[in-house]
Amino acid sequence: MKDAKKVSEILDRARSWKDIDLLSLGLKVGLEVHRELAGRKLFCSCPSVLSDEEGFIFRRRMHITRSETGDLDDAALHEVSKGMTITYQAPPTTCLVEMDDEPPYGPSKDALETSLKVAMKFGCDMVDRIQFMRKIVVDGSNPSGFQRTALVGFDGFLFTEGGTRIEIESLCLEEDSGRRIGGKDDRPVFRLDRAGIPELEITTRPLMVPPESVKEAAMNIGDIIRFTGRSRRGLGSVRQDINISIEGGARNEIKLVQDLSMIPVVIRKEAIRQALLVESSKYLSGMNVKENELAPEFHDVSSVFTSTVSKVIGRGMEKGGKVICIRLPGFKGVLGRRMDRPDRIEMDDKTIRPGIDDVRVLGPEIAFRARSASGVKGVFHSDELPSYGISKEEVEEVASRLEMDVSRDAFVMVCAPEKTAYLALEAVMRRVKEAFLGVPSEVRRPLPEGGSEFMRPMPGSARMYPETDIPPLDIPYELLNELSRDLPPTRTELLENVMNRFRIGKETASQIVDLDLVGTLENICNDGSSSSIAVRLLLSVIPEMKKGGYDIDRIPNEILSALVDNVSSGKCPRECMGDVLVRYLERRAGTGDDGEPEYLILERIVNDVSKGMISEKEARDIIRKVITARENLVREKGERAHAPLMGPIMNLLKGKMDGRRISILLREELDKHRTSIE
Amino acid sequence: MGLPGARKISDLNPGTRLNIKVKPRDLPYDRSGVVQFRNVILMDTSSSVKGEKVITLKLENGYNVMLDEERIRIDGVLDDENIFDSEIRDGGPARTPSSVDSDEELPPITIISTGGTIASRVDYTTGAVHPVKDGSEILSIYPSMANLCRLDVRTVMNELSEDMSPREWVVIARAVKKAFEDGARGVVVTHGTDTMHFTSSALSFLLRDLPGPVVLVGSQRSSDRPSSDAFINLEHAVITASRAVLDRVVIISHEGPSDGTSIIISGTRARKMHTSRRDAIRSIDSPPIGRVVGKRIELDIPPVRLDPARKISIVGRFDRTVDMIFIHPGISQEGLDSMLKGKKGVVIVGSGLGHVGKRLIKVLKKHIDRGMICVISSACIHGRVDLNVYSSGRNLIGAGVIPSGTMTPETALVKLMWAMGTAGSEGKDRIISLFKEDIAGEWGSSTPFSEGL
Repeated sequence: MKDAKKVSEILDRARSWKDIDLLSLGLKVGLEVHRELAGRKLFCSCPSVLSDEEGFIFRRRMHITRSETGDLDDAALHEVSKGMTITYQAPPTTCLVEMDDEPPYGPSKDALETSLKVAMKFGCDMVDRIQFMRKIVVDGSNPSGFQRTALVGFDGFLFTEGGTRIEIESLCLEEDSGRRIGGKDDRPVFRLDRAGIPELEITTRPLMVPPESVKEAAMNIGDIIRFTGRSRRGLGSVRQDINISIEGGARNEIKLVQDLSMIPVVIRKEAIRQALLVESSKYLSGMNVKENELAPEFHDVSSVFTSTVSKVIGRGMEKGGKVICIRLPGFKGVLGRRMDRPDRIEMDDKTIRPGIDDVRVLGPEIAFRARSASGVKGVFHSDELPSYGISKEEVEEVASRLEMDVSRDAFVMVCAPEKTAYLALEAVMRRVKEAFLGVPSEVRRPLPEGGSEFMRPMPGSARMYPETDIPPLDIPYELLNELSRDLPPTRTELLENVMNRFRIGKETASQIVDLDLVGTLENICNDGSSSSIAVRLLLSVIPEMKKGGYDIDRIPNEILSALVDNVSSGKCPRECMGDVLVRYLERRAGTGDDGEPEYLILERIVNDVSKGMISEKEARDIIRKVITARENLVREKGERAHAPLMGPIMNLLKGKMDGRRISILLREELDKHRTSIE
Repeated sequence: MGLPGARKISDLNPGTRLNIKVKPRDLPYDRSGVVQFRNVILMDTSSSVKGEKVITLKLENGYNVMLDEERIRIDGVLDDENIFDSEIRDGGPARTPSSVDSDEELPPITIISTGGTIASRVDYTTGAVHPVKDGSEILSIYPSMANLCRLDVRTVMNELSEDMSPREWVVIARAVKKAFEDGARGVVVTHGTDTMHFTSSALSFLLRDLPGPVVLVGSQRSSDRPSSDAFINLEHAVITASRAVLDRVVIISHEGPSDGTSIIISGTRARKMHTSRRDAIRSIDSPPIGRVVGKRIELDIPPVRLDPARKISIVGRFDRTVDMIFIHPGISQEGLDSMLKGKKGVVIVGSGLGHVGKRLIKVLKKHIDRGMICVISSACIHGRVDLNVYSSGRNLIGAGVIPSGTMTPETALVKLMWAMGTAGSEGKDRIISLFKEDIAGEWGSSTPFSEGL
């Protein structure tokens, strides 16, 4: 193990937290990629869609149970001890299964096959029978009190686009939980629209790679699921849980990181947080703090603040609150410890945005623990004082009341009703004691700027037992063999495929892939020769129409396909694609379904739009006239006369023929002309 | 594997901790090398596919995996302590005694445990739900009960609902009688929900001069689940038994899908109306006689006076030669005739108001004429049987059937069994008069309107 001294050296050497080579800290990252699947739910036939409706409302309570091996799980206890009443909303898209008022149906065949395909793509080994488990989750998010999940494959790998080998530990097929809509911590409200939506959970082995590679791994793993064509889109359909540790630290899980681009920041901030905690524990162990010094001893110091100018404290005391204080032996400088180094990153101190430009550790953590235990907002520690209107004199007075050694000790102060203050400070002491040990193992919630805050202690592994309502499922070789003919591509494979098939460049192909338009492109593009038209339609015409507020989703693919054909064969000018689609939508909106076949509607519109068009013969006549009129130019420049001739010809033919067509005709006529002269 | 002397994993006892190596299974792609799993728990060795043993192992991350035995090589047995032998597997480290010493001021309540989901746990080796071994285990599952009353738990049987028969009804009735004689203020009977309404009817007819409430209770979700309804159901049953001023047999059921409020249903008016919902047991054709809201009881019947000195008695017994036949359009004369052969009594579940096709009335009459007693109820479940509206009904009356009013088919069946068993050799007239006597509200006075069915 790297000792804390070495950690300190690394921290000291760094110009800022952004500079530190995380691998030198012994960074290990375990990635869990979650991606929801579309179609029906995993254990009933309800659709996997979110709903805007509250639907039927009911309330439940959760109870402690014993897990399979008999141990009560820490994480489960933490939730149950909160004594929650949970409110559920069951929208019309849900049924009794989500309400835990009906046993589950057999698992969705579609979801199961997708999970097998993805596992095979990773080259996983597979179980012979799938057994669904009940993973105890008593935060209320699932009305049953557990999440059903099955391990399908294990020990796979993939190479990222950048060539990093990522080892896959396991692939699980599981049901998603209810969606938190609101409510207080002990009275949460969940909507069951999301409950039961199938999702794949892919867990990597610990990765010892730079944070950017973790982000790439998350994207590439997610892409493989997406490229099955079975993944659900929309808010919350993709998320990552990231397990992070450094040497001398401990595994902390940052839950539900939704934005891929945040992954490197989340990892960096967590690694630095752990490094600071390791460093602090080393420092504290040198302070010779005795166990009995850590017994919480509350001091009422309200009288210090009778004429304070601090608004927070003044207001709190007006409401009958007291200022209660505890001494933290040996903690001077520890609570305020942070990693920002404004002097070395050449920044003005004022520009340091707390929590964004710096990494803070114990200060925010004790404040958060106090807040979640008691709801208090005003928590202050001596390292950040004087501030918040609290004066230097007041701080000194408090310190003298506590009889503390100001060169060694710190204090934490809460302004709240007495009982609440005690609750808050007891929670503070629990966290303070952990500081001596280094890094506690926690499940943490990500904050917008990339930091995180405490959610609950890390659950043990004994939180699962078999789902007895679903018999184990055989996975025969024949099934795997059949599914193996239709495996999803990796991102690299798909890009190459799209580039070759549609003869487009990598950048265009990436856009098509990222916008999930590969399928649409296949549908509307009959051969490689029309792909440039189709790409233009998808990447420029349609997005512009969307911006203009047109409901593009009402246009069926067959219309888009027919339009591409019309443009490709010259019946419709390329510039008119948007115009044709707008007219199509207007016609659909105006008359509703009048029974006219779609292709006839389109044909009519194309004819209308191209009414002003002229025949090829007429166009050639006009082109020839222009060529003859510029005889000298043609003689002088030969075939390079094409470019200067396009301008005057376009002026004559604009809107009467597709520009590219004109260009081709001009080239042909030029050739003819030159041949005839020779 | 294959090596002489090498141990097969199926030779080990479930619960053993071990390290293993796993060979790849048959896959449509190349895969070489073995995967190591450390500290796994052998869960089960009993299942097989196509003659190949499939081993269930719990991995360190908590997941169970099922692998063909031939893929697994033992890489070391970790220790001899078997995880399944440790005492926590059987209901907690400290076994709670079957009666709990608590506050003498609290009312004495007896819980009679008969089995069913409320008293069941998951068997982690076979994966099935099984009844608990004895009533004391109920206390280890529901420790908070001790704060509500002085509890005495007695296990009289361990039957799932579907295994109950009239014999068990009598055993339960005797246990209830004994409990009151031993000084209970009220009695709770934990019971499976499927046939609970048969048992509640049977107890209603058997038990007379009750000194306090008899409360049947079950659950729709087993108590191993965090979401189980067993906790609140049992709590409400115990509250009802210890505080409600009632001298009859009742059932406690969820009022709706939410936890928090239960309904108290008269024993002869209850019916399980849903296969899986928590609020499956409803009060038919009569509003519930009360509710339990949180910890408060609200009764909606005329008050009674409880007399602890009242001497409880058991009246009658059950004749099992009674059957119930569900009439449907496909029943032939021959079919009905053979079903009725040898029956001394039958409950016909007719259509609508209680009708039976005219081709079948002849068959019924033939058996009634030989001495069989025929009670008519309705497949509608809700509403009163009335045989005076249509001619087929009047023909049934002419054939000598007995309409059963608003009784559910199940209550009518239990009542007929009881009337026949109790009348013994006294003959048909005595049976009919016992059947027509209102013993526990089964005849009802009117059919009130209620929202929904």
